[in-house]
Amino acid sequence: MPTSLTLDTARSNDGKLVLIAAGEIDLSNIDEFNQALTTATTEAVSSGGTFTVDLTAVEYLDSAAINALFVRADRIRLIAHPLLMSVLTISGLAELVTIEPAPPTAQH
Amino acid sequence: MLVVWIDLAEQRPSTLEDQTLLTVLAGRLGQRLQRVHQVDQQRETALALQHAILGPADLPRGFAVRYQAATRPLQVGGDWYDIVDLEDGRIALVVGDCVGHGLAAATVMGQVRSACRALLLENPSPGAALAGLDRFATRLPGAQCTTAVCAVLNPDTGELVYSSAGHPPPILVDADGTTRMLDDGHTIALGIRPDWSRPEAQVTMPARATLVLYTDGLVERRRSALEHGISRVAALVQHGRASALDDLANQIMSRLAPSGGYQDDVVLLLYRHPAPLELKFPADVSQLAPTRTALRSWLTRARVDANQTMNVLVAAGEAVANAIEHAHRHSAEGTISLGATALVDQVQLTITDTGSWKPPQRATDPYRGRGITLMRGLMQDVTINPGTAGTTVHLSARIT
Repeated sequence: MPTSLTLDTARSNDGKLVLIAAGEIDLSNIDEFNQALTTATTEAVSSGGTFTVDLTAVEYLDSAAINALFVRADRIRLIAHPLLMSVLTISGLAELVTIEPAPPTAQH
Repeated sequence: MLVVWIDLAEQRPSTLEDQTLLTVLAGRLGQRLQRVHQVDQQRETALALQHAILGPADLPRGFAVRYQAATRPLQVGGDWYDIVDLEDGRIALVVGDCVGHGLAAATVMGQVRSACRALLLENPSPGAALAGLDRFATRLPGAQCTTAVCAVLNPDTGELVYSSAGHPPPILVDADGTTRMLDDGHTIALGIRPDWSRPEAQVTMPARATLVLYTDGLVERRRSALEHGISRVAALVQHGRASALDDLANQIMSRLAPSGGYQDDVVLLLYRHPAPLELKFPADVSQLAPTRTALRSWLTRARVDANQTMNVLVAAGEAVANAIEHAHRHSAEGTISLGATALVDQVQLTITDTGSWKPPQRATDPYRGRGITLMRGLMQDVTINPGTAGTTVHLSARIT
């Protein structure tokens, strides 16, 4: 059974790029996630070089995913489900990246 | 074989009398040896038969049993226990007590235990099984007045249906120490009235609660009320509810033993809900998601809240990912096992692999260093034991 992950990009109202991930991120699909981050980094050049990674619908992520986010720490801001906050804080990512908690009603 | 060495006095030749004497001696010794051999065989036969009529030696996860026979050197008596996997995934638990102890009681017990097992497999209802045993015990000399408690447990939900035939009540001790005597569903002992109605009662075991079934040998003392003994068991379980189940069983057996040892047959059967999780899977990234799903559903059964569930999933996920990435980088056929046990106020996880980890090197491998940092940050206790045969990780998380 493969780990399910969907990745989409969209533009927010102010024209900024948003990478929307849904599902679970672990070693089995980390390459996919890395690839999406790389593509988004390139696409974001036109709009100031920064973009948002929306993890509202991500139910699980491990240190492989956190590592991928660390590498792009200067270019991203995050939206994450409150349940992921302790993982993002303990890893230290929250010190480098602005993390906005998703509304608590968000489906998880 | 027996060798006899005889030293004759110096220079004395061996005579005909010597030879006759030696022949007689050899004959006697041969007979004796054969008798010893026969006794050995009979003893082995007796032990095999005794173990066959006792309850199962291999228990499902989550159970602990202690059995002690009053009459030495017998290893069985009139008491019995049984744990039966039913076809619908539920588990039947039986603890009973035939009148008397020693060999006579044991022969009755073996028959009653088998009959009860067959009845439960036919109809997984405690009341129906005891009603069937009533008819059986009425016709079996020595089986009248047998007491028993029979319960059917749903290991997923903790739902327990039970019925008691004149047996002391099971005890249920919740994680917070609340103690309940399961004294509903109770009526007279077996084999007295063949068509007696057998009531059932139902209770749902909360997560991390401990269930205690026992026979009166554990609690009955001369010049002391049965209730006194029962509340002593309840107090011991309440006090030791944070202990591992096997330790708790040992504590109860030793703390309640009279100074001269138990004078009656004793059964003690413990179950803690939910039973520990045990997973074994190949060291491959495709196993990460199904392992997580199984652990998540077990944590739900153990009533671990959403935040703590996420922390345990991530910490365990890191340990499993480490095992897959490093321990099995060079061998395709590694196996990983993951075990999880719920105690009153914590969950304990053990992740074992068959390889050895690369030592974490922060500078060259920030990713792995980060994984271990996460484990340490999310769990109250993390120990990593690298060994030549494999690495074992223990994680312990306090739960509220």
